[in-house]
Amino acid sequence: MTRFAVEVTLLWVAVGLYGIATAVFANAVLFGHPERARWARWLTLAGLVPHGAAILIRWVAIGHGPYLLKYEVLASNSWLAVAVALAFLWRKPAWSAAALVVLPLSILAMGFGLFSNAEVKEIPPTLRSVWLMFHITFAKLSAASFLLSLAAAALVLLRGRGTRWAWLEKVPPTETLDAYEVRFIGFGFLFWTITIAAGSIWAHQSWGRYWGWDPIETWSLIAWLAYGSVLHARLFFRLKPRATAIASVSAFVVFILALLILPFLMPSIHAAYFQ
Amino acid sequence: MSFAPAARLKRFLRSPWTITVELLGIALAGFATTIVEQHPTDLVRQRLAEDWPFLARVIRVLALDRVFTAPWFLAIVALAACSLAIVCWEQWTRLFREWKVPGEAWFRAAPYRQVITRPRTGEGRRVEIAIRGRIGALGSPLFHLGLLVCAVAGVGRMLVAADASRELWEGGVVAAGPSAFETQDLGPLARPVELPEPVRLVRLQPRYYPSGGLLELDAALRVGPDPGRATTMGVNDPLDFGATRVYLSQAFGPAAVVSLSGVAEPSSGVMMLSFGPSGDYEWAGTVPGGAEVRLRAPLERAAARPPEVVEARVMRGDALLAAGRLAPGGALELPGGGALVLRDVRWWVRILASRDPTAWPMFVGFGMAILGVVLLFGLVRVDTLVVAEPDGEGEQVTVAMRPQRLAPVFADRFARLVERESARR
Ligand code: HEM
Repeated sequence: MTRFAVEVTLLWVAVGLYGIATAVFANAVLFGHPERARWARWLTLAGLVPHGAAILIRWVAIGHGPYLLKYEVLASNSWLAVAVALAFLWRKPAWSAAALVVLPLSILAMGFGLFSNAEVKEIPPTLRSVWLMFHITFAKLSAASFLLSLAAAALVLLRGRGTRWAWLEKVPPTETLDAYEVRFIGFGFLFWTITIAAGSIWAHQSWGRYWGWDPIETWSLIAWLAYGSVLHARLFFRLKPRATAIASVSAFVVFILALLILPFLMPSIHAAYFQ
Repeated sequence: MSFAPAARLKRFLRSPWTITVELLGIALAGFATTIVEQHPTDLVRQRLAEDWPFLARVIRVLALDRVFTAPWFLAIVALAACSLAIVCWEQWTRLFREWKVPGEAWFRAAPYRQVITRPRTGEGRRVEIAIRGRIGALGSPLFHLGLLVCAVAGVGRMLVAADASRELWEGGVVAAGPSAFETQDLGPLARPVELPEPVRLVRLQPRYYPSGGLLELDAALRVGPDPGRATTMGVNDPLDFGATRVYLSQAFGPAAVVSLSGVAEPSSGVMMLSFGPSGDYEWAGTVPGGAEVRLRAPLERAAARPPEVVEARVMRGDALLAAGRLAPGGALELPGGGALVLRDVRWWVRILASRDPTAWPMFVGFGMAILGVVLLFGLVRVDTLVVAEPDGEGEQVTVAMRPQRLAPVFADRFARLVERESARR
């Protein structure tokens, strides 16, 4: 079996385990068996092992971290998102419903990654900088935090006006969902601020300017402003949880465009690295 | 003298709607730059006007093809900076006002309050007020002050920074003085980039992965009047002249040093071949006298030195005057006398230079903003009040908690506080 075949097999095993974990979470949450959420957490942890192993094997073999190809970016972003969500769910089991947002979206991301080009690409000289590590690590952490805020927002919206699903009664109260949603936006916002600052210092070191209004830089600023506007609007206009949730879902869409979609589509000096 | 207009202006700048419009305006301006080509050529403008007249009009009226110098964008940035300055002032003065330990009255608006009874633990009425995470209150003021510093630095960059670039070949010199750079991008108050001393590129050293991909690119240099001091620079490792820095890009290729005689007046020059559609290095251009010269060199994988053989074709109109493969020293005879002589093949590389006094202020602004967000979201100030009053044999205890923000997140902490106070003996 080639190294690539091992990687892909491990990733598919992880997808399978996350799929089963999602089903068990669904059973635990929707049919009122909270004790089964524990099994689902263990299954998720079991999925993280082959998932992490696949990333590590590739990292060791090709000599650079998972940040160049869509295949690498999506695999590593989803690993960190699942790991962060799992750590939170272990502390707050009442939030198991959040797994029903985080796990399917992570599976989707892994699926996209698995069907994209995985041919090894070497890092060009401009990427060989210590700032790259900060830039990449914090971008991934912000994705994980914003995904959790999305899960909280989705639960607020599901509870919505007049929805009468019994399982939703067991989810934390709307005010708590709202407060955690904002807290996760806060953490994501912090990580994204560091991502932009590190990128900017690095651009200064590589290209002699810390900001050049390149489309990808500009979109990272737009996403940052989008989340900043959500936080402002909530404070300034005393937005209710539902309105905050709608605003935060919209900001998440902008963020995903900036992080995962446009870098692969837009003509940009960054784009050469993300084919 | 009446201050009413000033107060009204301040109210306007501080209004939530103004601030929201400012942020969304900057985001929309950025968005516009990613979908409308900035500073297009006249030809592109003309084509757009023919194909999409309405769109072209909107772009022209709103200056969407030169957003960063458009009056509406500059006005939004100026308004945002003024709003930010007012908010910073407010936030810092409020911070100093509220820094002190609050009184009991502060807890009237506490979202958590519970009255419990327990056995008597002391005499008389006792009040305990505690503050945790007080430094968290610094978060928002520090963040916004950091943003203000970044905004001022950014506007400063637009005004005073200078960026320049040029190609340099091995043996070539960037002279001291401003005329050494072909392209200078200057802010309205900027002086052109100039190096204090000449810099000569001695040798370009590409290193490759085993697969042939570029691993590193370094340049051996001599700085100063001949013979100069030896030094190096590389990609991500600029050459520092204080406020001015010189950067090595990773755009490089073979440069053919050529002389041409017999076409018109004799001439010589350096022709920089770049990666072309054929998959090889290419150069094409017209030389004095109107003849067209085309050069082509194979793209060799992992080549430490430039290719040794260059294919040359000299044309006039559609007529091929001469063609052949040249090694350094080789000549291509042209009909009617004269020759194209390849003197040497060396590496060329694109270098960038910039003088930007706003970089450090910008990085300080980043640092303040990041520290501000860490404090804002990582350390929420939480004030607690415990009032014990004798009540018969035991005592009645009022426990209250007032987090500065995100109150529901602190439900567990309040429950623990109540538990601890209940158990106190
Ligand atoms: C025009 C410039 C800006 C002005 C005038 C402004 C003003 C304000 C004001 C008045 C507050 C409330 C602070 C308080 O209650 O103590 C605030 C909070 C905040 N602002 Fe800004 N702001 C500006 C730009 C930004 C930007 C560009 C961002 C980031 C994208 C941002 C992010 C925040 C955050 C994260 C908070 C805290 C929200 C919370 O407490 O939940 N601000 N801003």
